Parts: sequence; C-alpha cells; structure tokens
Amino acid sequence: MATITASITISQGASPASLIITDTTVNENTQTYTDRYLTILDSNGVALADYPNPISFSFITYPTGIITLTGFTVDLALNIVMTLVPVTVDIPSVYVATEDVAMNRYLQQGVYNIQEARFLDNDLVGLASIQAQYDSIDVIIEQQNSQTAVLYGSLSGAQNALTRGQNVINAQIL
Amino acid sequence: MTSTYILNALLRGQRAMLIVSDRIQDKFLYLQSPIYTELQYKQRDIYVLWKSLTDNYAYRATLTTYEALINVLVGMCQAVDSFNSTYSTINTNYQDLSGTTTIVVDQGYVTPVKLFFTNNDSPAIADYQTDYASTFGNDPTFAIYLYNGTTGSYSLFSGASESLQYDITLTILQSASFSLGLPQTGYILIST
Repeated sequence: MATITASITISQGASPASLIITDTTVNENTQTYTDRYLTILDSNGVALADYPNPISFSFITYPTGIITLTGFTVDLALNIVMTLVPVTVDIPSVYVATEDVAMNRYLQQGVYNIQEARFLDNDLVGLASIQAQYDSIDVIIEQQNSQTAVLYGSLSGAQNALTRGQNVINAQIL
Repeated sequence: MTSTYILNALLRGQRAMLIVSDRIQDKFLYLQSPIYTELQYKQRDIYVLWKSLTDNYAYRATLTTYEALINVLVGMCQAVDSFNSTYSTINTNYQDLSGTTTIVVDQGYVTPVKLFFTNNDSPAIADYQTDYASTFGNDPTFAIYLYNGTTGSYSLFSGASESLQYDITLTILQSASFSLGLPQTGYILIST
C-alpha cells in the first residue's frame, strides 16, 4: 500500500454548460475504496441545484475517474471537494482533495459573440461598435478578476466578478 | 486554415499590440494627431479580438466563424504594418524599414531587445548595431547571431556601437518565428 494524496483537476470543454472533474490521485489504485464522492458548493455555500449533495463519483460508475457535470446556465465560482473512502485508512494518506474554481466559458463565449457581431455581421456600427468594444474589455477584465479572486481565496469575490461580467453581456444588444 | 496559421496569426496580433504600445508609450506620435487616436482604438480592437480568439482557441472546431475572425485579426495586423510604413515616411529618424530581416527566436524569454541596423539590401555584420552592452552589460543573458545566406552559417555578433540610423524595438514574449512583412535580406538568430 502506497501513501496517496487525493487530487483533482477541473476543466471545461467546448460547451460552457459543462464542467469536467478528473480524479488525478497518484497511486490511487494501490489502495481499495468503498466509495468516492463529490461535494460542490457555490460562493454562498449552497449545494448545486439539480444535483444531489453529495454527488456520486463511484469507482464502479466512473472507472476512468472523469465525471462531466452539465446544465450550467452561467459561470459559477465553486468549491469542489472530492472524498475517497478507503477500506483501510492509511494514516499518512490524504483522502480529501479540494479545489476552488471560477468557470469562464460563458464570459469567453460572450466576448467572442460580441466580436463576431462587430466584425463579421456588422450588427454593431458607429457608437454601438465602440460601446461593444468597451463592453468586451469590461468582460475580459471581469474574467481576469474572477481568476485573481480565486487565487486570493475569495469565492464570493470571484462570483461577483463573474456576475458583473455576465450582466455586461446580457446588457449588450447584438 | 491550419493550426500553425492560426497560431502565427495570434502571435502576429500580439506583436501588433506591442508595436502600437511601443509607439504610444515612447511618444513617437503627436498625441493630438488622428493617427494616435486611431491607433488607440486599433490596439483595443486587436486586443479584445485577440483575447476572445485565444480564449476560444481550444474550442475553435465548434465555432463556425472562428477562421473568419482570425482573418479579421490578420487584416488588423496588416493595418498596423501599414501604419509602420506610413509613419516611417513621416519621421525620417525612424524611416524605411526595407532593410528589415526576419527575426528568428529559438528560445522564449521576456527581455526587451533593441536592434539597430542600416538600410542595406545586402547587410553585412558591420551594418548591424545594437545597444547590446548598454542593455545587458558585460554579462549578457543572450547572444545575437547573424545568418550568412551564402554559407548558411551563423556568426556571433557582439557590436556595441550606438551610431544608429534605424531602430526597431522588439519585445519578445515567446518562442516564435515571424516575418516583418518586408523584403527579407537576412536573418538574425537570437538565442539564450
């Protein structure tokens, strides 16, 4: 039995509505487990709507260690915890992995869509184009703010930045 | 449109932003001139488009207009190149770049590099001048090599004269190879 330290990575794919969580625990298969599950809370400490709490991430159902959560309608700042439940506890091992993330795909796609409207569709001309330019920069700044807030451990700050960015996108007439 | 083309376009956009920043921050322009205002807007346009494209690069296959936007970015970069050419005819101290070479960078770093050289269709080593020593002292972190197209070999260049005629400022952010879009008369290899 090797000592393990639970770890996860969080990523997003092409769809902004999905979030991919990967169990990246090194030497995980040197121990045996009765279960594996996820606890995901938003910036208010509330569990994700439309999902049970905890979320099953069992070895039987997810043998590759990858789970994709879908149904997100906006970018969220999340606290994600993966818990491994070993058959026999190895004292030096760490069975809980925690990551804070700020999703960004909706903001990224929002900026992309504005640029598309400006440069390809010519839906935004004159002052509207300049306003869209400013809006795009504002969204990019908020995207950056969200990542910086996560680095400083402020999920609420990250969520506030994401919400401000999404509000800019929502207010942009395309 | 290959991924190499797209990456080169994004790199070119990055360089275009740096050129505009350089021109603005070094007060090469009259601040009230229309060119200055235009460049400010162009820089923002290039930045937001470049950012939206780089953020979505991994997902480009799902974005039907991604390639069209890349071409818009290329067009913007060409406008900056055109500005460079126009500006060179305005300010005789920073004029004709026709002696420009392709810059080949073989290792990434973030050190600003200034290269100075004469307008010569067949530049020799002596034609190239640099503020090499003033910038990096006697213990430089990189070396500049000149490429000899005839022999196909590189030779170390370590000139330090400041008698300059032409000036290009390059801020190199990552490993890359790119063309300045002008007649190529030689190569400079910069390596750490």
